[in-house]
Amino acid sequence: MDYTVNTLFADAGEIQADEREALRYLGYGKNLPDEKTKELIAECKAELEKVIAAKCCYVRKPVVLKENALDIGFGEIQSRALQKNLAGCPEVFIFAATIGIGADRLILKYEKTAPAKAVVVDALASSTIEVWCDQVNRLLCENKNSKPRFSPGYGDFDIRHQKDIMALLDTSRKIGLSLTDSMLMTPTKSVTAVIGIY
Amino acid sequence: MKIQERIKSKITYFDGGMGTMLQGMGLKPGELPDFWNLTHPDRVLAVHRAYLEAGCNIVKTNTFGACRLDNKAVIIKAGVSLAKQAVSAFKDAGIERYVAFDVGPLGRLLKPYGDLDFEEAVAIFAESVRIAAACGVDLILIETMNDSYETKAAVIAAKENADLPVFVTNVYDETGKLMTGATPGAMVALLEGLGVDAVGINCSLGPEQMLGIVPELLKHASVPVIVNPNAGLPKSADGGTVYDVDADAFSDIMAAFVRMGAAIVGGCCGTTPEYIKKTIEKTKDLPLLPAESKDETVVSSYSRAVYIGNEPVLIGERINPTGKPKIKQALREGNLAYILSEGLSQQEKGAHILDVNVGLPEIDEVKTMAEVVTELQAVTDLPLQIDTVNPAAMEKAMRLYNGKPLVNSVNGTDESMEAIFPLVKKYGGVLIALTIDESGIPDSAEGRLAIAKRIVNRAAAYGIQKKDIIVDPLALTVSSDKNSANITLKALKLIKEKLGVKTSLGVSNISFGLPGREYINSTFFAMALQNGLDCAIMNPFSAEMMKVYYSYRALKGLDDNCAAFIDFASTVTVEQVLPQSAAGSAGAGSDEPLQHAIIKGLKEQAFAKASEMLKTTPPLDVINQQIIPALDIVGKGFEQKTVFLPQLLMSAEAATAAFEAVKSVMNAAAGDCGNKIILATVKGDIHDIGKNIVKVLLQNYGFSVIDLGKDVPPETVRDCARENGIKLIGLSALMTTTVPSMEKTIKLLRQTDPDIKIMVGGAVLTQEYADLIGADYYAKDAMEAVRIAERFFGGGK
Repeated sequence: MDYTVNTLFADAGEIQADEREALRYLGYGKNLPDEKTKELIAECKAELEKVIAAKCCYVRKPVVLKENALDIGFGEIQSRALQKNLAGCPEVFIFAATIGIGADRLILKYEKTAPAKAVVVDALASSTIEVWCDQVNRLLCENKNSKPRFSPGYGDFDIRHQKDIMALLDTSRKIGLSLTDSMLMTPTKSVTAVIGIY
Repeated sequence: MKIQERIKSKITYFDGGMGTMLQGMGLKPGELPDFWNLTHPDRVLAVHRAYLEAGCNIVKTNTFGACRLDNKAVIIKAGVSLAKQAVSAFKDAGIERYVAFDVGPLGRLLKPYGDLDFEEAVAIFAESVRIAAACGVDLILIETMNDSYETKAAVIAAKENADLPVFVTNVYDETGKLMTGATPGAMVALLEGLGVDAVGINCSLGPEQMLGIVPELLKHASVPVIVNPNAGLPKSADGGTVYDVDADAFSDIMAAFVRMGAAIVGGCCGTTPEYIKKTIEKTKDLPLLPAESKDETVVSSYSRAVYIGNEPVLIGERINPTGKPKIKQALREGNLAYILSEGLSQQEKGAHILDVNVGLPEIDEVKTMAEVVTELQAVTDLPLQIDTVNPAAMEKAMRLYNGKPLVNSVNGTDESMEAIFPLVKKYGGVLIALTIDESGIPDSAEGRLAIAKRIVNRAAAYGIQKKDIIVDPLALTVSSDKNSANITLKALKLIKEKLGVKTSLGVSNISFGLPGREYINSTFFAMALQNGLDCAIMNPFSAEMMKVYYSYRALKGLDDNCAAFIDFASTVTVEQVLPQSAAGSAGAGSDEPLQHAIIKGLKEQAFAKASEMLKTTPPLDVINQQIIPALDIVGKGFEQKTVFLPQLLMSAEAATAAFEAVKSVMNAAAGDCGNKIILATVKGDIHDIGKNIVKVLLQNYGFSVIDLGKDVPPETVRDCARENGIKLIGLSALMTTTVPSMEKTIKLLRQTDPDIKIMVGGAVLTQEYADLIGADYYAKDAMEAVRIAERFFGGGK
């Protein structure tokens, strides 16, 4: 059994934004963008691609069920929602993923100088971290049965467990992911999650 | 022997990993090894001893994560005491031993990408350094840093709070850069500028992955280089974790590093005493290749190093209020966005370095310089040239600058040299030295050389090397003295030959008072380049200057296949064609071309059409009959979901461009008459994007916005509201974890200033949530915020 914290990196250009998701974040629903907006999106996508540095670290841990709580390697968690999600899973993958600080830099730059580009890059970057998480999910769960990934902050899975996950995985050292005092992950386009496997 | 002498005369060995050794003794993953200084001192001591037995010279204290802890004092004291205890037991073995106070990162990202303030970081490191220094250590090792800015904070703290050697090792990732972007060359520039004693690399990946990075460090470093790799990558075996490079393979690569020139070697995660022992066996008879002083004149940003002297370097001069009314106005109004755009446009035009001058008599230069440098370095990766005559502003900017800056300037007067040299010595930087002194500018090349010589010699007495000085022999206008260009060019050549320093000129001064200045400037630029000019402070928007730059490089054999020149030449042609086609398409547009341009989000056209209209139409009519109706059409579209956020903002940007045109013909006071609103992203929240969208739209609708930025404490909001007599405040929070902070702000305002109204917005907020925390209004999006403001002030403007 492999209980070591491992890291994964995506090659340059491997992880790309999902434009349709980004449009959804931008409030388009089923509507299509006009030509000018399409150009803007293409331009932003090209710029974002150059600065993405997708990284992830993960560990595989056994699930220990206790009275009204469960332990997946970083102390007791009281969460009915997580318990339900992990029902029937003897093990989990715990992972932290980020697309790096480059996206934050680009967003900040355009917030100051070109607001339309800022919202588009922001939406594209948000979709990119999801694409990266999907990829990580696929790689980890190849040939395994797995549950949908579950993050601190979903339901009653306390967001404060982000801190435990990041300490367990040593994310600051391994992938440059850290937490602010108010529990925001930096770089901001990052995710921590648990995936039940059975 | 002192450690500083030892590293220059003998190969010196660090110990290996601590955390992974302790994990083998029962430390749980996620548990901080530092606590074991108190709970399991015997085991920490055992690890130190094992490394000393293996033969290492430097023992790192078990304090990697201690700086961030509340009870750091006891943990650091215990850690230093254990390391010293271990070392003193080995004093007689004939090997020199040292204790390094180990300083790891704080685990938080610095502003603006995280919430940790630079000076707060310095203070946290400073406290730890003082504790360790009082316990008596031999050196300070700042290690595993993946951010150049945090590294700088730690080095400043170490230098200011202890008189000890400082070693620094950074983590480079698989792209060969720090997580925040710095190349090895950029880190060497920054760290040698700050006066560290050794630089290097640690942790990261395995030793093979460092094969590409270590030569880069060795190529640029004038101080000894440290290499402390991991034992490869971790993997599981027999219920535990092992690393995939064994001691034999590890020590082979370490021997290769020593042959390349690494002077200090050891290990990081996964390495054990065996790794260190084998490394020592394979390298102890190898000669030390002493670090040679590299004659590089280099400045850096958070990510890149710019080397001066190999080919012409362009320093963009546009961020300077002198003779630029728009920059003046932007500085007076605190409109940093305009200044940032000016910086970014110069970068697009090809500038390599940006000059930053904010000197205006009516503003607080220390504060403004710090603000502009901080904001600018967040949006551009070009190195900055800090340009001020105010030493306090210079110091603050040099301290906060994330890199090694160009410093503009020092001159031959005692007053200037005494003020500036200590700053360069402390913070690092390349100095522009002007050949002027108490008796003015000599009118001969020899006179200017004499001043340059004096500056270089005085700098040497402060420990500033010649390579960190760039002499500017001063261009004076030919309109008042026909020989002035000749003298400057002669001085340029002479200073370069006799002193061997790099040179710079403020090129455009040569044409002051003449018509057609660009012609004179560009010709003079070409002449100066031919006479050995290394950097030009110039206007990158000047096509004539850029023509000279690209042509010179092509002619000098600096441009392979003339590729850059061909690129440049093609853009020049396009720009000449563009205006015609733009005019053509606009002619075919609607009856209201300005409205059309705003609705379509065409920035340049909006500005052009507004400027055109203003020739025949009063400014207020342009606003009320064109700009506002156009914005209303877009705003209504947004509310009806036929227009979407990117379009709304493109239109807002186009409207802003049109307002710029209007402003330039109206008197300055007119822009200030709008109703005032404070906007702030609450304490703890660093997501600023929603608030910024609201700001752009409110400004478009004629409101005057005081933007307090992000991570704003409740008290700041209240104080600002009182100072400005504010009646409406907009608060933004994006995360559930920061909504309580919004509630706190509202509560504070309610207690003390109950008549102020508060609107709130942000991703996680709803009407119910807004009611719950006691807000007056909930804005579901930016347009809604505008409507609320309009209703509040009774119809807007």
